[in-house]
Amino acid sequence: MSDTLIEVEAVVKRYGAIVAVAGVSLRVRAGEIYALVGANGAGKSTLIRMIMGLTTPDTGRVLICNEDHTHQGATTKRHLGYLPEELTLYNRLTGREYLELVAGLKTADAAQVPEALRFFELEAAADKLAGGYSLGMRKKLGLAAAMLGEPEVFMLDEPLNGLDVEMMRKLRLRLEDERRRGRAIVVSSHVMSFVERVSDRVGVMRAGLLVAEDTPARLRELTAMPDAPFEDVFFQLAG
Amino acid sequence: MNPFRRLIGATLRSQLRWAREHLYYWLVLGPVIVGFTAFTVARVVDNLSDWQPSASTLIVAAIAFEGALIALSLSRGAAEIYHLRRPEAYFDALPLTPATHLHAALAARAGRTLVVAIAASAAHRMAGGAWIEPLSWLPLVLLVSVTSLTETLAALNWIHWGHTRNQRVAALALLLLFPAAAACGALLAMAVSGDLFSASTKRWLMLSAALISVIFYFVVRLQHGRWRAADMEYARRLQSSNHLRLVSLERLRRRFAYAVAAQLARDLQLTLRAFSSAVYVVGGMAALVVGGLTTILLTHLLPPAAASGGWLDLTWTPQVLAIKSACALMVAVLAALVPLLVAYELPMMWQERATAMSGLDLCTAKLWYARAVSLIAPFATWLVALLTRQVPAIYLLPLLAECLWLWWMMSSLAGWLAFEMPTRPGLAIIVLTTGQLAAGALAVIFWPAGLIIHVQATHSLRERGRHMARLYLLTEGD
Repeated sequence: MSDTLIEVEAVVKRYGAIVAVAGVSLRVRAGEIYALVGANGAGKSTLIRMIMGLTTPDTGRVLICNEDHTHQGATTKRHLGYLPEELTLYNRLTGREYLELVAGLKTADAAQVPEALRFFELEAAADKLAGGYSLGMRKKLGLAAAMLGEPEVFMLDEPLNGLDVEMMRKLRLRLEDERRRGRAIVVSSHVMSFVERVSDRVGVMRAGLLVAEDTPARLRELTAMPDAPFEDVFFQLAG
Repeated sequence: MNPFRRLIGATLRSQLRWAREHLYYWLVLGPVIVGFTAFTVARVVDNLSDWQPSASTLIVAAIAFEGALIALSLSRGAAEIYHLRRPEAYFDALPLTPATHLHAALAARAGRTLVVAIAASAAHRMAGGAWIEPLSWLPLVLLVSVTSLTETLAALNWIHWGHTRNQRVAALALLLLFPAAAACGALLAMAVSGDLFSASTKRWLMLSAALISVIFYFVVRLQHGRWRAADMEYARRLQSSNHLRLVSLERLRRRFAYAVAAQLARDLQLTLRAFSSAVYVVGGMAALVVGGLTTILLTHLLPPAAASGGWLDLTWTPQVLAIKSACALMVAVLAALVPLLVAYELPMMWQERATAMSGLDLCTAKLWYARAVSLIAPFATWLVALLTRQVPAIYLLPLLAECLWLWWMMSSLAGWLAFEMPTRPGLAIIVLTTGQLAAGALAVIFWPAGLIIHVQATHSLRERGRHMARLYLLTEGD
């Protein structure tokens, strides 16, 4: 059996005359962190939404854990943990209630909820209404929801927005831990230092195309920028 | 617990918490409005006991009401099905079947329709009718079922039409929707007034409604299963396409302060781009008022004006009163957009909070918005008077002045009270419309009375509007 958990085959998505994703193919193996980077409007979020089955590609297909996921297969979503770029919460549910709801919908063990609250340092706010949460707290709640049910594949769209430095570090360590446990993780981020440090491979998107894809070290070699900040490598590749 | 129950449970819990936080609305304001309406509307209806609408008029009114309800629910229905800007959007990424999402959306629709059905029966009771008899609960249940399914079907087809422009599918949807709306209207009429139909007609109607419910459920389920995935992205991006800029900020800046002009330009643009399906409904209802007025004037339903009497007495002729009443009604209908717009803009109002905007700026912008959207009312109704020649030429200009006065007074009221209940547009519409129509009715009968109200209330309403807007800026409506 293949160890590829995410397989994207030549997916295309158009919005009228605009081509948001123009035939992207990629594979992410078990135990791999894949960073998706690109300027705003490069097509990252659309690609992630297609992998998640939230948007149907015009052509191409998506396989998750070797199951066709192109047309929003409900069963395939059991393998997925997702953090959307913008998470809308029930303002009048508490953080704990929200996680219990997500755990129930994922048919995850309810005992994971207190553990998730503890890990993301939300215990003190767990019984307060989510409407009063700050951006960082909402993001942490979204991350906690994504990790419930121990999914095999994580899709994290801009997970660092609003997180403090300590939580960023904690998240990085958690992702590395999940990688060791054989999860496939796709992270979209604009924080290049995080991307370079955490990811095994980086896919650079520009105008709906995957213009470069390799390890951070190889991308440095490719751009002949061994000591420059990784932002400069990104600018060179993403144009 | 199954996922459907969990979803409904979360929504209910959230709604109940809202209700607990807003006890004032339920325990004080609601009863005050209901009581006020009961003692005014019911009394007016009692006084009009000589005039009783025919059965066909009642049925047509009920069908028009249901049609408006279905049209009004397009935006919200689409948001419930496609989870637009809603917490349920996250659940699309979870292992839930499409049927679970559909059933949750249908349950939400049914819940809202039930509230409308209860309100309709309460209104019927206030208008002098009896409470709904136990035997009439079945039509009410069928009404909720057919209406919520019809609203869901309409919303699904509305989005699909926008996405695909498939004329055959749209024509088929209209073929299904029109009879369903008619059935909903007939059921409503039957629920609130059981003696309108014969026993056999009632049986047939209920059988038809049950059949429509079953057929619509399967059609909705089929269309939802086939279209939702493909249409979802279109629905998500519905409001992100390029549009013409129809309102000039520069022109508005010549008349208003920059902060007010910028808000007003935005508000008018949003309205012209139909920020909600309510814009269409309000436009349709305003057109209905004009149509109704034209019909009344041309079919000579009103008694003829007395031959004698001075020039000033013309203000009390049935024709002039009807025109002024239509103007007042049209202003109230159009100004109903104000609370809807405020509720729509709430999530984006962080920008106003982040700037040095004052409560007065916020309130003034909505005041002029209310005036702008309802400005058509005095001219449209006056034009009807002009074209139908039911008003003596000598009184045409005073009539225009009276209509303009009505518009100014009523729209100002709507603008000043725009931030009374920013998070509850439905309740705000009831409050505003009641207040506007009460003041408008006085001014219709005797325009100086309106002047007195306006002069007396201007300062306090302006101050209240400013304070409420300021309060909203500070507290975000909580």
